[in-house]
Amino acid sequence: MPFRSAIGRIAVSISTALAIAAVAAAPAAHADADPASDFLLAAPVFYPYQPATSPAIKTALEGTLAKLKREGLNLKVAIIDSPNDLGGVSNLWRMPQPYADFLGKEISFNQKQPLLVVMPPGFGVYGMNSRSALNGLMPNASQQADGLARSAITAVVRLGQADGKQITEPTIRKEASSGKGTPALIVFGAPVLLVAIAALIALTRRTHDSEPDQEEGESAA
Amino acid sequence: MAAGIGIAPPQRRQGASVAGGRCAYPIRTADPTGVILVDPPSTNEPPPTVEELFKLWGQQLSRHRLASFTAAHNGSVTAFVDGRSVLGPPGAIPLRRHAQIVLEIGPYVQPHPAYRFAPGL
Repeated sequence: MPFRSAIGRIAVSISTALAIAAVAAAPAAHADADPASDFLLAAPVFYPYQPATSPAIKTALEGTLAKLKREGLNLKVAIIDSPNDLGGVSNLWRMPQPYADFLGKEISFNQKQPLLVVMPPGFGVYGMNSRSALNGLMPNASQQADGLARSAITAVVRLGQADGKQITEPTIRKEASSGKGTPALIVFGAPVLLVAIAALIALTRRTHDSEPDQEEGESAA
Repeated sequence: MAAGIGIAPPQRRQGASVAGGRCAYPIRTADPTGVILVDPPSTNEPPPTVEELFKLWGQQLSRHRLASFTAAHNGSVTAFVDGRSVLGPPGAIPLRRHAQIVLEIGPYVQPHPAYRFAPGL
């Protein structure tokens, strides 16, 4: 199979619009233009492209959504941290509710797909009647993707509770810091090395003690 | 468009994305957004085309056929590049950097005029 290393790869966007006559009576169709509409068909959350969301926060958010799904609420979340996360609809940047209305229709089929959109200026909700549960809550944009994802967790819990679900805010596991602190090789290797040195000393002493004393043997004869 | 086009199995999946595979073609998709990653051709080679992509994908593309959809009587597949209608076979459209290619079958749907690519692409 031919293989070339990627040297300065380029990107092209191809989208397809399948406007079938049977749905002509529906609201005007739009060509598939935003990344979240593709991701959310196969995943519960769309995360910002950059910076990456930390794994611990992702685990907490997706775990919360999984619990809600088991209780009958299949809520999806789109976290938008910059216009780059919107693809062909960057005109909806900083407009969380209009984007939620747009995206919600894209990912809904036989029924409305419950959806939460998180952007720095606020939240958008589609397919649920409990938007008022988010009154007074503002996304934390100071920490970019991680801050928005944490805010998403709080919003998801509030929406779930307003929908009568038994859900509470999860504990977000603290991740081990990398590049700081004592390297693992020294932390775990030093005691092992000390034990090895001690064993060698003990063995050396035992060997020395077991050798016969020449002067004592000669005086007894 | 599917994630993992042009990436040989076994594929390593991360959610909706394909993080890697046994090897990869110069044209491939890592996620389902329709963004195609293209290794630039060498100086004398023409750029790859939409037809090459669809062949890798294993889907049909012609004037009257788009994947599993066939145009209605007298209908055809229409193509747009950067918001402008393009005449000629849709498969002949070259995959140039940041080209926004929209393929439509059925009644007209207004193509998006611009697309923001993720940083680094």
